[in-house]
Amino acid sequence: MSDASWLRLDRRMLVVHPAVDLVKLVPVLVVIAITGGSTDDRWRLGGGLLLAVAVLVLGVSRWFTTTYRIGDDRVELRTGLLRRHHRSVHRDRIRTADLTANPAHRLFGLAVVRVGTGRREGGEDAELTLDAVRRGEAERLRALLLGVAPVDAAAPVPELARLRWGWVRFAPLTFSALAVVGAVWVGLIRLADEFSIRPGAVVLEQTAGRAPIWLGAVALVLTAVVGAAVVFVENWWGYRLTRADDGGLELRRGLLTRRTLSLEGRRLRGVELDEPLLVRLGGGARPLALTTGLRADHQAEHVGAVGPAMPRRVAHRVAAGVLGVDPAEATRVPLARHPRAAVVRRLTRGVGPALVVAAVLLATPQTPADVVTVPLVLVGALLLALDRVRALGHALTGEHLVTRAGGWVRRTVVLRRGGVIGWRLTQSLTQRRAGLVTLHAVTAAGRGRYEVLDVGADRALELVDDVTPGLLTPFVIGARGARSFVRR
Amino acid sequence: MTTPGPQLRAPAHHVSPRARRWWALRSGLTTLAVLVPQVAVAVVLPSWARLLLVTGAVTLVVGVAHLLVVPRVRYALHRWEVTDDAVHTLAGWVRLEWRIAPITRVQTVDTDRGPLQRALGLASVTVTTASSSGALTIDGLDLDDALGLAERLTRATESVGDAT
Repeated sequence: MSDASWLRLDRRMLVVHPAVDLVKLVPVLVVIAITGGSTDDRWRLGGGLLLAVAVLVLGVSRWFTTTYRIGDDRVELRTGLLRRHHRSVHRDRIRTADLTANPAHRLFGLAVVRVGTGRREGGEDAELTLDAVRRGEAERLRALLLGVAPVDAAAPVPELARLRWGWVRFAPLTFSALAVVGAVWVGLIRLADEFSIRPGAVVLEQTAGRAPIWLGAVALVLTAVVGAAVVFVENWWGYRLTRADDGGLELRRGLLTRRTLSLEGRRLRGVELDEPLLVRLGGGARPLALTTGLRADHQAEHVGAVGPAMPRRVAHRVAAGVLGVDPAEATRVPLARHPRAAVVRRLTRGVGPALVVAAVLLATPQTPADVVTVPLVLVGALLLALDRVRALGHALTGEHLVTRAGGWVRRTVVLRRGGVIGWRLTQSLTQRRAGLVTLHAVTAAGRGRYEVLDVGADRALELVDDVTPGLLTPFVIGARGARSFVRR
Repeated sequence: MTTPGPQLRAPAHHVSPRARRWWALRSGLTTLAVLVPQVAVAVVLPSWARLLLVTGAVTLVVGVAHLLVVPRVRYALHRWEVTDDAVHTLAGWVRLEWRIAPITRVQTVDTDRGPLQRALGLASVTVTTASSSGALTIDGLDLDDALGLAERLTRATESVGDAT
C-alpha cells in the first residue's frame, strides 16, 4: 500500500480552509464595519476587503503548498508558502493516529489525521497533522500507520462501554460545570458589551438589585445544569469504547467534532478511577486509562479519560475491562488498611488547620456569625479528614499494584507491576516519628508517579521487594525497631 | 507507634569531598550577588544607607552561615550507590528521599560540568527513565568517577530495549 509519491490533501480543502478562515475573520470585519466613522469609509472598506482577500489566498495556497508522503519507513509532510517546513516521522516511532473532524470537515466528509510518536518532550514537534483527507482515506491511513486491520463496521468488536443518556445527571456535578457557568456569564456580559448594553448602576439597582437572592441562585444552578448538559452532549455523543485486535482500545465520541482515539495495548500501564466529591455523593465515578505518551496538551483534564462520569458500578466494570480482568482484581480489590499512625496523621492534618481558622474567627470580635461558622468549619474539616481516612488503602494483586487516597477527589490507581520503572521513598520528620513512609511507584504513564501514602516502613520495603525482587536486598540490615527507614 | 521492621543501610558512596568546596563557592557567589546591589544602592543613594546597612548585615550573616553549614550537611547526607540491579540515591535532612532507578529501565545518562565544577574537577551525572518524574541526579562527583559511572551505565543500558 505504501507508494512513495507525494500526495496532496483532499481537493475539498480548497474550499474548507478559506471558508473556515473567513468565518474566523467575521468578528474582525464586523468590528471594522460597526466602528465605521463618517470620513474614511473607503479606506475602511478597502482594508477589510484586502484582509479578506489575503486570507482567502492564504487559505487556498495551503492546499497547493501542503504535500505528504507515506513511505515504506517514514511519513513526511511538507508545508508552508514562504517558509517551507519539512517534517518526517519514522514509521517505527508512530504510536498514535487519531482522527478528528470538526463540523466544517464533516460537512464535506473529511477528517484530520493526527500522527503522534508518543514522545513527551519536543512538544508539538513530535506530531504530524494532515488537515484534512477524505474520511475513508483517513481510516485507511490510520489502519496502515498503526498496522491494524481497517475498521470493518459489520464485524462485531468487543464493546467495553456505550453511552447511556442517564449519565448526563453526573455532568453538573463535575468541576467543569463550574467552568461552564463562568464561561456562559462572561460570554453574556461580553455580548451585552458588544451591543453597547451597559446598564448603569441605577438601572442595575432598580432591576437586579430588587430581585430576590433565590432568583440569582436559581439562575446560576440553571446555567450550570444546562451548560454542563450541553458540554456533555457535545463531548460524549456517540461514545463507544471498544477493544481492538492488539488488546488496545478504541474510543469514539463527539457530536459536532467527531473524535476517534486509539490507545495501543502495549502502551497501557494501568487504570485509574476518579471520584470527585460531588460525583461520588451522586454515586458516580470516572474511568481513566494510564498509557505512555499521551499528548499532555491543554486538554489535560481529558487526557486518558476513557469515559464520562458514570455510575460507580459501571465505571468499575469499564476500568477492569480496559485491563482485561475482573473488577474484583482491579479497582474493586479489597484494600489493606494503613497503620493507625496514618489515620492519626490524616486527622491532624485535616483538623489542625481548621482549628487555627476557628481560633482566629473566635479571636476576632465578630461574635454573631461565629456561632454558625466555627462549628461548620470544624465539622466540615473533621468529616473530610474521616473521608480521607476511609479512602486510604493499598493492595498488591498478582498483576497489579493498587493504591487509593484522596478526599476532594478520591483516586484509585491500578498499576501493572511491569509498568513500575522505578521507586521513590520519602519520609518527612513527622512520618519518621510515626514510622511511616510514602512510597512512590514511578511509571512512564499518566502523571509519572503514583504514591502509596503513609504506609508502614516495613510494608513499603515489602511492596518494593514484591514488585521488583532483589532491588533493595543489598541494603537491608537487621531490624532494630528504629523509626527512620534508613540508618545513616 | 513504631513498626520494628527491617531497616536499610545508606548507599555506600559519598560524592567527592571537593563538592563541599563547590557548594561553598556557589553559596558565596549567591550571597555576593544579593549583597553587591545593596552596596551599590547605598553608595548612590546615601539616604538609604542606614536601612541597607541592616539588610546587608543580615544578608552577610545568613550567607556566611549558609556557606559554613549547608555544604557540610549536604556532603554528609548525599549518598549514592550502583548495585547490579539499580542506581540508588539518598538525600534530604528533614525530609528523606531515596530514589531507585532499575538499570534495565535507564534511558539516558548525561554528565554535566558547569564552569565551577570544571575548575574543581567535578561533574554531575543525571540518569533518566521513561517517566516524566523519574530522573536521578548525583551532583559533585569526581570527574573520573562520573565518567566511569556514565560509561558503565551506558554500557548496561545498551542491551535493553524499550525501557518503558
